[in-house]
Amino acid sequence: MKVSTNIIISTLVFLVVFTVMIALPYKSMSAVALPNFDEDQDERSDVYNPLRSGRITDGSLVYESNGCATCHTQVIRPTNAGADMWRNNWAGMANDEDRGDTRRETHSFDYLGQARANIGLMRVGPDLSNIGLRVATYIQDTDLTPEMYLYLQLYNARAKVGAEQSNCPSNPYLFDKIKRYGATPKDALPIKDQEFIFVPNEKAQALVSYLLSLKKDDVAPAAIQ
Amino acid sequence: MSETETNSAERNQAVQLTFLDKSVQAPVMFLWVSSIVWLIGGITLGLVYSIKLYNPDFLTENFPSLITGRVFAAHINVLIYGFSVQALLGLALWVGVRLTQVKLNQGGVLVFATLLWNLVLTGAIKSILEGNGKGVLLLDIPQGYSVALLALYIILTFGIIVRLLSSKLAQKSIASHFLAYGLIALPWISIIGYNLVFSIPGAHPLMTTAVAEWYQSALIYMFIVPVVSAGLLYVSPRSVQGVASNNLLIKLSFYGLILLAPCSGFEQLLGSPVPYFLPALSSACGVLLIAALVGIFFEVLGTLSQSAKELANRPSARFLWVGAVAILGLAGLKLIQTLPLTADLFQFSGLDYFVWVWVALAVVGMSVAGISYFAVPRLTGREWVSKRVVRSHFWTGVYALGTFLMLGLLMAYFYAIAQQNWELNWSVITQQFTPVAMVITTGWFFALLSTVAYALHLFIMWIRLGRLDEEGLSLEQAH
Repeated sequence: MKVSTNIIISTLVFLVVFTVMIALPYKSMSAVALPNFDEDQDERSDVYNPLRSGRITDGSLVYESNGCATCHTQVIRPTNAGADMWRNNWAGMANDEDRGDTRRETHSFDYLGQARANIGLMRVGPDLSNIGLRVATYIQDTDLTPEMYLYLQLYNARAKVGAEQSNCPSNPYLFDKIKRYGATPKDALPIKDQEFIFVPNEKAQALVSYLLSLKKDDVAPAAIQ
Repeated sequence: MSETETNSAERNQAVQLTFLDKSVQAPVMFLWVSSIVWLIGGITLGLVYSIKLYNPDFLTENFPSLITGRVFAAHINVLIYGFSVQALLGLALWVGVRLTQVKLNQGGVLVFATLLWNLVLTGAIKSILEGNGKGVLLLDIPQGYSVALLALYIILTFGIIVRLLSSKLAQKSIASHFLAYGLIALPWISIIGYNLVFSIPGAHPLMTTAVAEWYQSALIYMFIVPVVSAGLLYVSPRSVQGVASNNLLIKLSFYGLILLAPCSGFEQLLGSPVPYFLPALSSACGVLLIAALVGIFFEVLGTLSQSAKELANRPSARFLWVGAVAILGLAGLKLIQTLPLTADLFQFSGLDYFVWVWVALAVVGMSVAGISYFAVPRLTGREWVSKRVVRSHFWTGVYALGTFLMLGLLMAYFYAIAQQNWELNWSVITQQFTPVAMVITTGWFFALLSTVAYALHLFIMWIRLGRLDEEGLSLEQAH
């Protein structure tokens, strides 16, 4: 057979595959409607409204461009695919004071507002699907705000007691190093340094806001869980 | 035909091949030398990346922008667009003119395009390291740079694609079919991948990620594997002075590849909330695709096995043999990524990284090295200088591949098992990644030794300081 004939055959194959496996799912997913709760299964019948607040769009871009997804995932797989659901506070909170057990698999609405779903490549660090809620448990016995906890984590993940072995890198480019004089800004890192103060820059603020938006604290319709 | 006529025909053919080789000598050598320089850069970044996995602030004080995620992105982009694509373009030009028996007259343009490719890619890698990358594996090159690279790719391949499609001589060889398919596929998958991931407004974030996964798979199975196969199929019979082994098997493999390669890739999204049929159908195609890869392996192996002596002594034959085994290894890795039993287990264990390393170092690296050991003496009119350097290149390269495939997979398996133990604290699990990272460092160390040896040898050949000898280099041990 001629080379050109084979190229025509492969082009036709490619067109079929492209249409069935890429174009159609791509189009249908871009117009996916919010599901309704089901009266029988969920005991309510309103529309599911997956609210997220924070700088999701620009924060997720900072997350992507710095390669965070190389080491962190954002997906809770079904129980037949892995143990993600059972790991402490990854899939939601097992005993939330107000809502009870909020653990669930990731669904397609968890990524709304982002340009891409940061599913991730490896799990060198923990999954971040529920980091927004987990931070609240980490700061319970401290006087840190959730934002400040994450700023300190991004500045130097190994500075924390018990985290000396962490393999999360420091991200000095996320902080402005300013000569210390006069009053200290309220968002400056609580680091003992005589000469300088370290203040989160625009990128750090967007990233932390995005990370804090990653929560599994809502009740989703049973049909998508 | 009389003996005199036969000799005369052989001489004519040899002269014809010399003219053909001469017409692509400058661009092919420049592409291969550039690719090796990028490979050394990619390996260095790989070493830095692996060290950062257990010493995360390594070099950060002096180079604050060298954080783990950015180094990883730069490292993989350098291995693929710096090394693999340029090495394969060199292969395509050389094999292409020989298959079509038509000279290429735009050598100067191609050299200039290669130079521009290197400059544009340098700018792109710098941009990624500065934190301006797109954060999508192998689509992270910022837009201006990626458009320039696509234009340069078209300039570099247009002439050879036209010749492959129009030459009557090229139709006879299955290598032409593989080569034309691979060269034509890359621009299409790049345009589709880039646009669907970044340019369509209102796209669902899951589908942009799904397309990015598909692009990565398509890059391997629609571009890299076909072009490497073309090179292996063209050179292996010549390197052992034999004939192609099984025409039917390789034809079936070719059609298997063109049918199944476009469907593969979505299996990486197992467990994520994409439409369920995507990973399922993709896994089914992936399993069948393995048969096509195994077919290519047996074809090349069968051809090379025709002369055990040549296989043992010819540098090109040895490397081509490892290149064929690398395709079998890729099939094995694909099987692990595809079978439900192993796909879940290895999904976030680092296996995907080992696949990219294997593609660059084993599938492309060993195959193109084998082809260059055959082609470079014909391109430069000189012979390779040192057996010892070739042996060092070969054995340290094999150690590197063994480290990545055997130890790397074993450590990734232990890490994957640890991940499944949900009662273990995550900080304990993370510490179990350190052996994986240390294996990666060791692998890159061997790879660096191997590549430096080859780079020095290739450079000597490029500046025409090779041996002026009629006899090809043999690795035969002196008795």
